[in-house]
Amino acid sequence: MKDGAKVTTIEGLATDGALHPVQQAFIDHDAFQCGYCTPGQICSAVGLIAEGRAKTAEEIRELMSGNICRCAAYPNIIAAIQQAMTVMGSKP
Amino acid sequence: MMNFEFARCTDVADAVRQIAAHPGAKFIAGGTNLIDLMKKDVERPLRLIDISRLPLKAVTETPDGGLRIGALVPNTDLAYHPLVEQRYPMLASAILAGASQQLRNMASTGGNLLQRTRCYYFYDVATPCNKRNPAVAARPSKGLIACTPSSAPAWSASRRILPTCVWRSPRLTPRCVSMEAHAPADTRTGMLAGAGRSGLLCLSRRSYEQPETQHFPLLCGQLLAPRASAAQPERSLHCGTNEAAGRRLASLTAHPPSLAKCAICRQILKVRTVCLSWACTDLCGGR
Repeated sequence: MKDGAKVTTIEGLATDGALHPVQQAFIDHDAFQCGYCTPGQICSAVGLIAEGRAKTAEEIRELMSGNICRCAAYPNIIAAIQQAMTVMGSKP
Repeated sequence: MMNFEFARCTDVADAVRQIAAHPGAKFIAGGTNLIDLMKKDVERPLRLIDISRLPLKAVTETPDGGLRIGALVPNTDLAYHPLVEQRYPMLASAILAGASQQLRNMASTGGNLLQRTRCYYFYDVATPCNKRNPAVAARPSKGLIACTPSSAPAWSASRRILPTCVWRSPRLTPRCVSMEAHAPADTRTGMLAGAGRSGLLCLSRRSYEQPETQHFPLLCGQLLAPRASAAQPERSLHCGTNEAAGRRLASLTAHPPSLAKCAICRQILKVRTVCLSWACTDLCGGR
């Protein structure tokens, strides 16, 4: 169904060895424990920021709700996304 | 998962031709329902016909002031569409109350309306289920709402939506009933409630004895006052707190609804996403 589509995975986010702002923010805020869900969380966060609909923590939580984290790192994930939004200039 | 063939189609007519030529084939658009069911072994299509690239992704205004929605418009795009946000705020809110953003990004409008029951028994093939194969179990006595073994849920079968049709573009009419709020109450009578653009909470009744659908305009469980017909309870229910909605609704009925009823109404309208009154007039092909 997606034959021919351009797909960006976690491996495609860094440029020339420099981490993507969302990747850096996840490290800064310790937004993972086991790391199993992290690639999906980060890719969803990048998509969320690109869509530009979420502004508040509550809206971020709602739009990230499809990503489950069994280590329950949710507060740190929200903080990381908020930092990345500020860094990327998408927050008013 | 069993093996299956996969094919694309060039246009709507080609899609209809292909599904007619391949017994056991199914259309796939977003895949957020069908793929799950295939993994669970509930659906076993021999061939998937991918309609996701057909040009059915536009939302356009109709001359009567309604909207015509392409069957392949993703849930997210529909919920955030300016005209839907402006004219059908409860519909937008209901869409966003369903699933998660990732699923809504994939799921199509047509697929949303045709998705199958979420019942656990239905998903567990080790348990009997009359929705999974109603042709062999618990068929209603006169067969009016009997669903053929297809992807169409009971109510859409009764509305003559055939599994071999490509459902091109549901329409929202200016006075539509916009949401299903109640599943069929029993095997003999279908009771459905919805919120309308015209502002009515409407209870619809259809029975074998009386196959014509009857509509009873209601608000918070009571018949709506005639003078309320021009008002917009949908907006009243959508905005603000339960208390604020109750105050706005109070002007529409002889007896103001209680806070509890008001809260229930808001919950009903928000939770269920399925739209009832997309006029099913734009079918193409079919048996």
